[in-house]
Amino acid sequence: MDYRIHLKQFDGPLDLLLHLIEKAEVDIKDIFVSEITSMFLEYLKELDELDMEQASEFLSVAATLVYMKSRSLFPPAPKDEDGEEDSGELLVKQLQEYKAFKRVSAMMRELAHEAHAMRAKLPEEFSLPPREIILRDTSVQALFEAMLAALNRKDEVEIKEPIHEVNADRFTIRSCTHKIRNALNLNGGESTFESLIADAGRMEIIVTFMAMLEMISGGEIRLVQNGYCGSIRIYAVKLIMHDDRLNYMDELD
Amino acid sequence: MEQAKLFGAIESILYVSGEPISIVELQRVFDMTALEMRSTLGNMAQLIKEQQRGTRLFITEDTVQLVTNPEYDEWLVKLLAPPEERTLSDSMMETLSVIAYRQPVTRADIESVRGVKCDYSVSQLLKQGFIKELGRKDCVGRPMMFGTTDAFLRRFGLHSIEELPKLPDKTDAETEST
Repeated sequence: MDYRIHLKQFDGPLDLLLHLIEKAEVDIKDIFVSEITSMFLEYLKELDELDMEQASEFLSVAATLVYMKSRSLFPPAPKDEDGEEDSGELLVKQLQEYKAFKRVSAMMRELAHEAHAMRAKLPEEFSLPPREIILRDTSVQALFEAMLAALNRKDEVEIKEPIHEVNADRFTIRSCTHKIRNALNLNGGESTFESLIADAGRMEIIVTFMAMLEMISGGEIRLVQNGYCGSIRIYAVKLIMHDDRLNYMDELD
Repeated sequence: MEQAKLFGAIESILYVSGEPISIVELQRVFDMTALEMRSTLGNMAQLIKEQQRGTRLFITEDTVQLVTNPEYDEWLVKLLAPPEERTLSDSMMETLSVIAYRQPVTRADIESVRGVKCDYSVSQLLKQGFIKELGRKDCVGRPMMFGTTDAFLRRFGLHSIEELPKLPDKTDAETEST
């Protein structure tokens, strides 16, 4: 097994690029004609743990680098007519901007450090009085009218909004596990998922499937599926017939 | 109210409060206009400074707070052990500086500068009270816009957002790197 240590965790592709640029002492504008591209790709190879989201950020920068590198082998193409910036110029701009913000955040860190020497004490436990709201140039009558107007407006909105009906959950994991156990008992410990959901609606199919998952984790059943999208066969392992003391996932709050 | 007494009254409120007091609240208590209160606080801060007192006023756009004079900090830490400074991580500092200079900004604006997702930094900065939501931007998706708070100014010792150090020019950053 490989054992790798990263001395510095880079905060995204721009952070890594700036680090490489500083190390190689090249100008940001010259990154496409330097060794930076290969160094960047080398670093990517070494990254062992990278989640998809981060990986895509690194890869899109790597793609720009490789593209610009390959383009530098050819004579310069005529400038785009539509005035759109090419991805290389965009990356250079982005790097310059990022670098400026990195420098300014170091300056701000210094400010925060200085400001830390101005210390304040914790408040005494006297609270401020509740905020008073003072309404000027109005009267009780005007306030009442404003409220009536607001109430009327609410009515108009309500008519526009369609009424939704929300049905209570008719299927619970508990009832579906019972159904699965009964089916297994009746058929000598064997059944199929398809037979359980033969005439079920969408909700019942989902809950039955979740009930099956619960039963696997409880060691009650074993599933066999031959191939992708094949029929799911269910075999009883050790059915729990008295589950009054179990809590199912849809019963936790 | 005689000026010395007014200063005294304000000082005692600030001492007990410890936390920053909203200038609007002080206006209400002393029945003064914003302009009068600002100039009172300004004069008071000036006087305290001339007397080289151990505490001073820290006035921002919205609030005033009684804080120690940093000149005496070396003696203070000789005897007392004030809480250590909690530094912000690099990614939080970068996110915060983009928000400070570019406000109001959306998450996407920050991400386009930093080249990485910044959900975590933004939520942490919100939680610590250095930034606040300013409302939604009127464009597709109606993203939330963020800006800095009074707590941000105080944390960085700034009296107003205009006191932020000048953002290095792109070309400046470039010449110094070479």
